[in-house]
Amino acid sequence: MAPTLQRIQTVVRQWFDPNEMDEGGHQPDYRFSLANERTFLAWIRTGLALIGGGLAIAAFVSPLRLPYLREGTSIALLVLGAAIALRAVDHWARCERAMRVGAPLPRSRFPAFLALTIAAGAIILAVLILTSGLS
Amino acid sequence: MTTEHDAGLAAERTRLSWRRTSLTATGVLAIGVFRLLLPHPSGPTVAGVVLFALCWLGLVIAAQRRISSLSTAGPRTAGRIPLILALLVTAGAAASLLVLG
Repeated sequence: MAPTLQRIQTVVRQWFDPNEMDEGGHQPDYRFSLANERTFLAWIRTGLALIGGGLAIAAFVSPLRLPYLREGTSIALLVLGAAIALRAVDHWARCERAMRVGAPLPRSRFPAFLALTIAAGAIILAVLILTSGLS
Repeated sequence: MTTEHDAGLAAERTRLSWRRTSLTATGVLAIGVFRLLLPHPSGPTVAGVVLFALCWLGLVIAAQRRISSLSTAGPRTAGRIPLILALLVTAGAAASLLVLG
């Protein structure tokens, strides 16, 4: 249990400032740091776009014939948007650290997971709407 | 100018990326504000939009600070700003849940 807690602590501290974390390693070429920052921002905008979708459903879609479809879709988009933002800062910190110590950049399954989730969500939504009739 | 210190356009591109992010957040805020312009917004809806606006304000201030720090010679890494940004976006998502109510 203790090592798990320690690992969580390390990860969270890394979020705060990956560059303060590592006494070893060296400052990477800052152009790479800035590229990493832009990637982080692109993920943040992706998250914001999903939150915008969730907010638009919450704000403008009147209750649908299928119970909870409106609420469910909105909540799913908002949760996904928040998850993307939190994952973005984690990935940014990991990349920053990897560049500092000269390790390979972290691999991630998250893009694949996100793509499949959004595709599946869209298909399910389309089926639900078509089978229930537009309300 | 030596190649070693040639900043290229990296800082400029990063500044623009922060601006795009601010703009995106502003667009999302506009969705909430439009809802308030419709008749009879509920209490939770108003509260949600107000809270979202506060998150938006924090995001824009953070972006502005980062943009000005990127404008100085010898740009530094972003430090805690990415964490703050991610937390503000998460809080914005939570505030948006209220808009459903």
